[in-house]
Amino acid sequence: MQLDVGAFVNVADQVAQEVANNQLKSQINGQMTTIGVGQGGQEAKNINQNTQTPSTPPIFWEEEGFPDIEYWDNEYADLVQFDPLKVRYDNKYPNHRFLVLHYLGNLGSREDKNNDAMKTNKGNLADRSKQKGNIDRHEVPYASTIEGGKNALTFPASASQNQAHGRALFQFYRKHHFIGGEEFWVPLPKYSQKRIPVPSAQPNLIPRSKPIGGYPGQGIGNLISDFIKWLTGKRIRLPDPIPAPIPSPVPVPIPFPR
Amino acid sequence: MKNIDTLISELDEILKIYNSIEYHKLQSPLNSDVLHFYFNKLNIENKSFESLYKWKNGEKENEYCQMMQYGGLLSLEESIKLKENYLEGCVENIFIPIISDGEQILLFNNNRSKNYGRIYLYSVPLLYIEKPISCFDSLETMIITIVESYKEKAYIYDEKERWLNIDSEKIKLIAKKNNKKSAYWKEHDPLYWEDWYEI
Repeated sequence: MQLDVGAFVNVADQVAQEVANNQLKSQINGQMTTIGVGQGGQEAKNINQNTQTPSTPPIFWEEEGFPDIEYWDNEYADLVQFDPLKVRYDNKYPNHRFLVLHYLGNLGSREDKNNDAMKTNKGNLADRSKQKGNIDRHEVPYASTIEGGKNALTFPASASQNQAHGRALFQFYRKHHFIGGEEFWVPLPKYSQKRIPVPSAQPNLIPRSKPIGGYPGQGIGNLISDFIKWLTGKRIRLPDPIPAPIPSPVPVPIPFPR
Repeated sequence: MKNIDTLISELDEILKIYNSIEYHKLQSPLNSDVLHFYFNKLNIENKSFESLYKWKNGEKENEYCQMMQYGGLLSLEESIKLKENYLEGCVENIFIPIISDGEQILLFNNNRSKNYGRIYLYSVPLLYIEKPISCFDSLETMIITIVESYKEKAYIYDEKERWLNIDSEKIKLIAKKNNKKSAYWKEHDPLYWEDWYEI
């Protein structure tokens, strides 16, 4: 499978464009917060000071709950592992490498990226995953990121995991109040520690993360937010009342020579 | 607005002219008894919905039909399968899948008490999963949008590549004009469903 490496060069430009657009949009709308590249890392530090350095952007640790998806994301990481813009390493997490992605706020671009990804991958196994119920088409880098699109690869993945992964990603973006252009990392096992391939079409082992219709404690936040919107005509982003816990990775002891 | 049968005839003509390869992936309608058996199973009584399936019973088995950007019309059998297996427990039970590209699904709102007949988008890549967003005001406006998109060259079928190229900016303008009640074409933040979720 061929990757259009040249197109990746445009990612930095797109990130800058997304951030500039959103800063402008925020000024126009009079929003309270404007989040740019790098600032997301500060948020992540606030949430979990023990595990993340100030320079580390938010990490999507929930990825580890979806072995089928993680496996395919890792396959993609293998292809781009020597590009420091796409895969990073952090001394704090010796067993991990991280896929570097940027949230894409522009919906029109997301549609284009999804279409481009489908076109690039047309005819592959994932594209023929028509018999629904078990198999879904997983796309990496995700359509909701600047890196997605014609450079993305699609893979047949367990439908239940793909859906649940999408829901977890949605919650992750929301928790960090992403607008567009923010960097985040997807943790993956290092090449030497890759997990055994998980066959697709697994039974639904992952329970739905949240019930339809809301989350515990969300009602009060919504009421306040709706009231402020009613008063001012603007939606103010309140932090989620009960932030989802970020599972901390278990550090693996490095043997010390005696 | 033209009636549904006239609109479906227009769609039929347009697909034959602009996208005949994908058009031939659609299959003939089921006979009346079987049709009504499936309508009963889906618990639907809607003239527009019935007319659509009296035109075609969706894609042939194991075929992908790129009729529009969200895929092709699902057969009634596929629609039931999707509703009962894939979407079960994920979205509200009132939705009936009608169009899919294998990843994104257009859902018909079968809830008579609120926004009945409106079409909603379920999409894993765009992250409209538990909360589908209104995309077309009705089946009629969806067909008008598709027909106009072909005429305005927002959809261009590449016969060599066998791929429907889409101009999302043009489609957005056409869809917004024809679907004034639908949230998807308006400015919104997809992460804040409290502002646009209607169900």
